[in-house]
Amino acid sequence: MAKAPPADHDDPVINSSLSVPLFASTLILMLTLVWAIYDELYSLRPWKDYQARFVTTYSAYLKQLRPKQAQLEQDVKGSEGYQELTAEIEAAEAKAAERIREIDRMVNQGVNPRMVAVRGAYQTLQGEIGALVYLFEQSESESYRASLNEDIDEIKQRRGDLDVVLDNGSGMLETVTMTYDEMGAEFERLRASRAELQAERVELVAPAAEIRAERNAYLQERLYGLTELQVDGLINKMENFSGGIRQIHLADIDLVDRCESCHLGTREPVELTAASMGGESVFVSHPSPDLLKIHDPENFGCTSCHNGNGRATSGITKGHGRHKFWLWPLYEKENIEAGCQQCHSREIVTDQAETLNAGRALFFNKGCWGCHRFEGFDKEAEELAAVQQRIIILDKEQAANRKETQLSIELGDGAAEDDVAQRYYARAETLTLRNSSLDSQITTLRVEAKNLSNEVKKFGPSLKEIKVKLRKQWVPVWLKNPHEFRPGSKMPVFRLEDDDVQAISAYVWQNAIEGELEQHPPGNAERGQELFETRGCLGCHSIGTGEDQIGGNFAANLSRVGEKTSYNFLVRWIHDPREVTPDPNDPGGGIRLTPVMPSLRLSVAETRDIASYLITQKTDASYADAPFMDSAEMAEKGEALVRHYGCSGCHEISGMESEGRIGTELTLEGSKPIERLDFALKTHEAEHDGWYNHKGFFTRKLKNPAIYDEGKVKAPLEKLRMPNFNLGDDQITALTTFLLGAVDTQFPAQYRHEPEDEGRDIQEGWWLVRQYNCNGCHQIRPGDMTSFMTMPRYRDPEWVEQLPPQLYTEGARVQPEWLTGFLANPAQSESNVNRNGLRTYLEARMPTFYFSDRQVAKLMRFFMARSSQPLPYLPEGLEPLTNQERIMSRQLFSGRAAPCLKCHATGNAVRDRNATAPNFLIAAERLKPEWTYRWMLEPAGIAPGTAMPSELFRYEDERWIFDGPLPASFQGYEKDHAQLLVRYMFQFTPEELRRLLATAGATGG
Amino acid sequence: MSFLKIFGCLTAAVLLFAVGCGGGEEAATEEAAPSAAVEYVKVDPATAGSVSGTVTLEGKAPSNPRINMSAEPDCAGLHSGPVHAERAVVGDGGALANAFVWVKDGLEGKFEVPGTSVALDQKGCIYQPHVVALQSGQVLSVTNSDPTTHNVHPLPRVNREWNRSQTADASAIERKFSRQEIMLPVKCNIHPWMRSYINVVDHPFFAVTGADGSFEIKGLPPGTYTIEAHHEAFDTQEMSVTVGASESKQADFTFSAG
Repeated sequence: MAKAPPADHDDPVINSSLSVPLFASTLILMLTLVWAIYDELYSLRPWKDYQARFVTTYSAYLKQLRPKQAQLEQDVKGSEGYQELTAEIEAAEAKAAERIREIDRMVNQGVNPRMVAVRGAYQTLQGEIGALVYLFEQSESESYRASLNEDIDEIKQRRGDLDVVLDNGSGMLETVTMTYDEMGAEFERLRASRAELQAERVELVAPAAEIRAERNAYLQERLYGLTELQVDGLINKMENFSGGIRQIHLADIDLVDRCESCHLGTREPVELTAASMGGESVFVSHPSPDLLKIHDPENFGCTSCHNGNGRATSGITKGHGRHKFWLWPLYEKENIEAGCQQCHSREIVTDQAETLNAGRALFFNKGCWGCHRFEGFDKEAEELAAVQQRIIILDKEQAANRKETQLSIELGDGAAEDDVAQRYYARAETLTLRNSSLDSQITTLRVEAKNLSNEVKKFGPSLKEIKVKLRKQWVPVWLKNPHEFRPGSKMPVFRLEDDDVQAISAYVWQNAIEGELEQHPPGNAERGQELFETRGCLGCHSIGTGEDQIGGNFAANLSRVGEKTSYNFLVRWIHDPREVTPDPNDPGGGIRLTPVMPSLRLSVAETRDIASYLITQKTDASYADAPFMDSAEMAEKGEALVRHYGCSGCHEISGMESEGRIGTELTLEGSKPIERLDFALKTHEAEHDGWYNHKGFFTRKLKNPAIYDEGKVKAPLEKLRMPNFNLGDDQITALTTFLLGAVDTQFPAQYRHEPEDEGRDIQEGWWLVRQYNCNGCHQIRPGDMTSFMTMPRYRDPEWVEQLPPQLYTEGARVQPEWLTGFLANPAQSESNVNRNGLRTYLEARMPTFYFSDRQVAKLMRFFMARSSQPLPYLPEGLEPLTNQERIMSRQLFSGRAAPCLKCHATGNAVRDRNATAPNFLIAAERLKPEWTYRWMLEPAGIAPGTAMPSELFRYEDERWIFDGPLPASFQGYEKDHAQLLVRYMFQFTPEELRRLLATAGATGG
Repeated sequence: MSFLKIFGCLTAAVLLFAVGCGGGEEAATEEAAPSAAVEYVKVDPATAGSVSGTVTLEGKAPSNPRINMSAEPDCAGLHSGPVHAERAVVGDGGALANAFVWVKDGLEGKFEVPGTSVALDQKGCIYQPHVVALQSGQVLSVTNSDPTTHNVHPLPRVNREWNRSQTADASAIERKFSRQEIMLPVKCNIHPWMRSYINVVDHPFFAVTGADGSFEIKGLPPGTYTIEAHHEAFDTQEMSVTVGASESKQADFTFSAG
């Protein structure tokens, strides 16, 4: 039974109106749409607003810039130099114009039309011949072929009349009669003649074109920024600015950076500052266009260096990644160089990253690596361990081989069959030979191990020597607070209770080697002070406090050294830092690490003078007796503490030679998940105050290493162990930058800076430069400040020439072989060592660092690579001097005008009193001739501030001639004078020096 | 049907609104900045004052070491008697020559650079004068009156360093110093005893004391100034002086030899 349908008036579809709900829904929908559109167009696209503002401000700036640049351009174009060049161009063009016109006429009105005419006739005949040749080839009949041949010959012999123009461009017509072959020859002649004319034309145009290029260069050199035309181009670009997301996409590393959607000025060719962009720092150009050239954003993106969220476009916070859901927030300005480290992790010096370099230097110089492993630091110890391991393995293999050889021989001897015996004997022979090859491998490794064990250093001094070195009562005072005794010391302040201090002191004291020092009579302290301040000690050490402090901060400040050590020890230490007290418990000597401190090759008397001076460096502080130092009980307690605090990380301690590092490895600390950085009870505070990030953790930990123990109750040995280095804020920033950059980089190898050859030589060299503080005395990069340069004495005009030499272009200056010999033995003599081998006039000594052969080679390659010098060095031969040239050079060298020997040492003590430059006798084996040539022409361009005067030569008649009165013998000499002097210097002999001095003496020059 | 219409209209309106707003851009109308011509301070001669005084040395003057030119006949031959360094040239009553006095503080603005050059001569292998003063940007003209080659080597702290040799008959070396720098030493590497001091000042209010220890700084606009006196051998002295309109003030400096 079907149900009756409801009546119309009962049907809600028909009956009840849906107007209200529908209207309401529509309204909501409409509002949502409006909101969605608004959001789409505005709130989610703040960059649109930035783009609009950029276009406005930038256009305005450009329009304001335009007249300035126009004026500048006009000024340059109006300048004398530019006008001169313009005149030269015009003159050159005028000079060539007549002939060019003539050539053009000859080509256009003579050669070309004549060629066309000849070619036309020639081609007609060619066609005819072609047709006959075709018939000839197709034909089978000999007689027909013969007749065709005749026809062809007839055509070739036929002489035709041609009306052609003369090829001299006069336009005159002539009628020539030519055969087919003659036409071909004529055509070739015309073509050759045209080529010749065209070549001549090119040559005629060249001078003007050359000057024009010179004029362009002249304009570019003098015009700061852009030309008017270029500015116009930019204005035009802004007028046609098309908005939209600006994006860099690097598919291989899945990087999408849209930073430039707002940072629109980054790569503009005009330098944009916040001031020029209406105070909006978002639009400034990248501060280092040079860096961008090396790291083109198209290949590197932005966030690969700066961090931040490159994809985000909906707001500053999101784009910069400065919220808790983004792991890699944009680096703060002061840590911006952290971004360099991830790809430049093998370097200790990276150009243009001075904060990062400072951080790495601190990591090295504060001895962080004593407790924390960091790849690259202390790699000698790791390499040594690997080499030693390898030797053990090879030794074992050899032993096993020997055993098997023996066995094989026995088996062979006892074998029933001859061929079986032969097999065993062959096996034995193979193994014997294998062992011989292992022998050579092991020998090589032993040499390497010897090199390496010479290179391995501990950061702090050896504690094995403290019984002969230190005053007993001083040890606990020092341990309690090293920074109180010596502010800024590299030894940090540990969190030690008094009895901990006593226990540690007792342990290290009782584990030091007993020994006797040689007794020395006192020296002259006054002379000692002078030597101390001038011989080079202050390249690394400092002395004095506060404003009176002088010297470097690579090694200890010696202001109170007299309180801690003995005179006799100082003499031994300064005279030969490698001398150690023999260990009666280890008569074999064991492995004793060598100190970084080099030898200045001083005589015993000089050493006594310096020690006498240093021993007076003390305050009247009193030291309490320390009977606990001899307590066995205390020492036992101390041993545990020494292990706990990882003292052997930095110090050589008897019985703890193989202790490992106690700190966490920091190689990838920057990419450690934030949860694994233990903020402890500071977590909430950090989150609340916005420093719950790597930077916040590092800076606070470095400032106060105990901070994350705050509020906790811990047993003494459970407390955080890291000592306080009392770092300054700058130092903390530098170290933080370094640690922030210490990340596990996501970039493939081609992005990372892992150069080979020269690039690697430079990297490896910088490590040595840092390890041995070459920078304490030498400037290696422009802008380097050495310890010497900071000392008031060396600012005195009397002393400036006493500064150790700059090494900016060392690789270009010296021959690699000489440099190797010099680094190995700076005295340049086996017997006469108390001197400088090269700059005999310098009070400061180039020390003997006892480099391993490997280190010497690395340093040599470093300098060569920095000056782009190929290895091996193949000296170019110099033309031998003629007798006449030798006489001329000698006269110039010793004359009044060029008093070379006034400054250059001669080996004559009286003459050399005022010497400030090396002896010419060494030049040939030391210098490179091409460098020497450049040096004579422009010494200030190679070593700013040098005593060698500039502008000794002037350029005239396409060569350099001496700018001063010349000896008569130079009359008619047409070669380069500087080159002559280079050749003279490189063919200098002791005999020549004698003659030179005799001549010089006579003229008083 | 009517809802659809309303909806359509609204959508259109919203879109139009959006487009309308998006298209509104302000035209930039910034005037070009006026060209930056340097305005020099003009001192009114009617009200200009002066500071003068004497520089004296108190206590025993240090001795001036004798210069040994024996190794340099070209130099020694130019002197009949012994030559002494000019470290402290003291006259009657302790009058101290070669002191440099200048207005260290109190002046504002830029001052026109004189077109004249300041001379420094090398004569008898001695710099003359021993202390030179000039305005930054002014030309220093170095001449060689000796029969021997010198090299002129200023050792600045802030200016750019240069070092040029000058043979006996060479023309004058003309150079400018752009930065203010007091007591900038000059030496000759060939004749290491030669020493001169150049003073480069950003304004024209400075003087070098003569043999009688006196100096005068003229043409000063009225104001309060810090006057400083330098001498190569003694600690720098300083005093404050207020100069009224057309006033001549006395400022005597005393260096202590102790």
